[in-house]
Amino acid sequence: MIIERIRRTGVGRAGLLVYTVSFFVVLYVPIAIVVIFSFNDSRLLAQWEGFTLKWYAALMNAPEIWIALANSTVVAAATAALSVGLGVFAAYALVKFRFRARPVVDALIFVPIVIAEIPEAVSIFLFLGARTLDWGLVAIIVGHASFAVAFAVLVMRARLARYDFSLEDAAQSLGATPVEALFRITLPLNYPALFAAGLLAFLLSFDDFYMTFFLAPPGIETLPLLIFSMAARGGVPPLINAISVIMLVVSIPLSFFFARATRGDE
Amino acid sequence: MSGTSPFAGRTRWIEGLSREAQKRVAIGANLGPALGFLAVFFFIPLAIVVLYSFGVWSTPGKTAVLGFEYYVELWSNTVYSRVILRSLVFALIATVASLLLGYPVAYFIALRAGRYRNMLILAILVPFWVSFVIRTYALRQVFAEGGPIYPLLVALGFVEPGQPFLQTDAAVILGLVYNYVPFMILPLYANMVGFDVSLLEASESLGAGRLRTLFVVTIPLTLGGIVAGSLLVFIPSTGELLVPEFLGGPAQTMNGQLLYTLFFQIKEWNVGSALSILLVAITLVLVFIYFRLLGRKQPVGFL
Repeated sequence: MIIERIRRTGVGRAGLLVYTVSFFVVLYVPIAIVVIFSFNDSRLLAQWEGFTLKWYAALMNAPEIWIALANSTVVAAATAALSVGLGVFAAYALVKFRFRARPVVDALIFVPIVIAEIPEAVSIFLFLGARTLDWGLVAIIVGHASFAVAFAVLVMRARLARYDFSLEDAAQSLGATPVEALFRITLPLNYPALFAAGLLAFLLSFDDFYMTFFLAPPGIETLPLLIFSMAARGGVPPLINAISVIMLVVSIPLSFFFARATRGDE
Repeated sequence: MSGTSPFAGRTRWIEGLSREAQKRVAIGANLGPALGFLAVFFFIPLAIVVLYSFGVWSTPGKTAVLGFEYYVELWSNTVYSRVILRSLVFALIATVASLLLGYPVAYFIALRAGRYRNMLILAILVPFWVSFVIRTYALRQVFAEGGPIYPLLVALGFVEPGQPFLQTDAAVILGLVYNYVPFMILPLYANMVGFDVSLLEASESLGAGRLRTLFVVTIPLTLGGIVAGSLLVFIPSTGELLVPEFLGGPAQTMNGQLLYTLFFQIKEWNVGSALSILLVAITLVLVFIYFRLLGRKQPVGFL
């Protein structure tokens, strides 16, 4: 009787709730540790010795960190511009028109996000004849865009799926050409998706490690590369954590903007 | 609107075309740049890797052997084959563990979270926006001896007291699970959200127990999400580099590190290309099987 009652009133449910809460705790503990330990007055990996701001002060006097931040930002902005410029129009064609090659084109655009990043990075490395030095940041940008385009297409497509294309017909019957209808009606009406696609591409590029690791010319570092190389050389953990916090301060707010801009799009 | 638009004058010619020709111009002009870009920076590079893998082109300064030589070498050279097999085994264990750990969470968010649903799914996504390198470095600090969860790892039997947990298989596999479990939860969630809870109630009211309902109703109905999530965890795990680099030692080397060594340290581009193509081939075969089994309608859960 009692067992039956407990079962009905939901010990199982309570258990599921407790489990889910602990799952989220485990998911966030490491990230919280990075933030907390960036204020740690100890050079050791995991011993707390007291609060300090000295690692942030040290950041101010380390030009390589600001150069890496500038590189990351330039690469991410260029990747965003390239991905939106290519992806938005591809999404428009894929949503608006029905044509025979559509399923094939659709599949081709998404292959780059299915395949793991390292084989992709390797292929661009060989394509450039290993001469990444001649290409500078451009090698990294095209590498990032090769997968970010597909994400821009996804975002724009989700938005256009809810868009009423008869507005373009209306514009054309009032004398606009098809090109005008696209640029002056459809794109302005769907600007949240343009913005969201750009943000997504920016974030993917800004946080990217693998593509950058294989394509960055010697001597050029982005923030993720700098964190990696400092960690690999046994750099001071709290300083590395402080650099990580700088990255979080950029990417977490942007990811919230992205979530807002895509609300309602499936 | 005429006169003010920079497009009106230069695009008027389109209207002189037939409806069908207009459509073709529009498709070409809108899709062309994206497809051209992907052709140059994705498909041609991939074709070049294929050429290297079969020895058509060779590593600078070396002579290549034409044929399957480099694929055979991946298998016959135990230094390589051990890393490849280890990567597959680690990825498989991480996938199963992610499924077991992630399934209840996706279930809770999709069906039991009520008005907190959107907040929780956002909370699954946030770690995804923390750079991979930061998350993995964070784990190194968490797993370190004297780190905050070291006592818990000892209590759970993952490590003998006083022994380091880093540089063990378990540390690397846990690292894979931590980094990729959101990829398991998202497609599962997308799959379960559209799910009619009354089916579960019907099953239970018809006398099936909770467990039976789970195995006979819930799991078969969420199979699409299970398979999609498993692919999204398994595929990137097999090529991993950062996780074994930060959490493992020489005995945990994985494919990503092997690729790095082959391309940048010992300069064996042909063998490296064969390994790359092997990973791509595994991916494409798995994705093909997925679509064959489940059809195109299943949610993949990217957005």
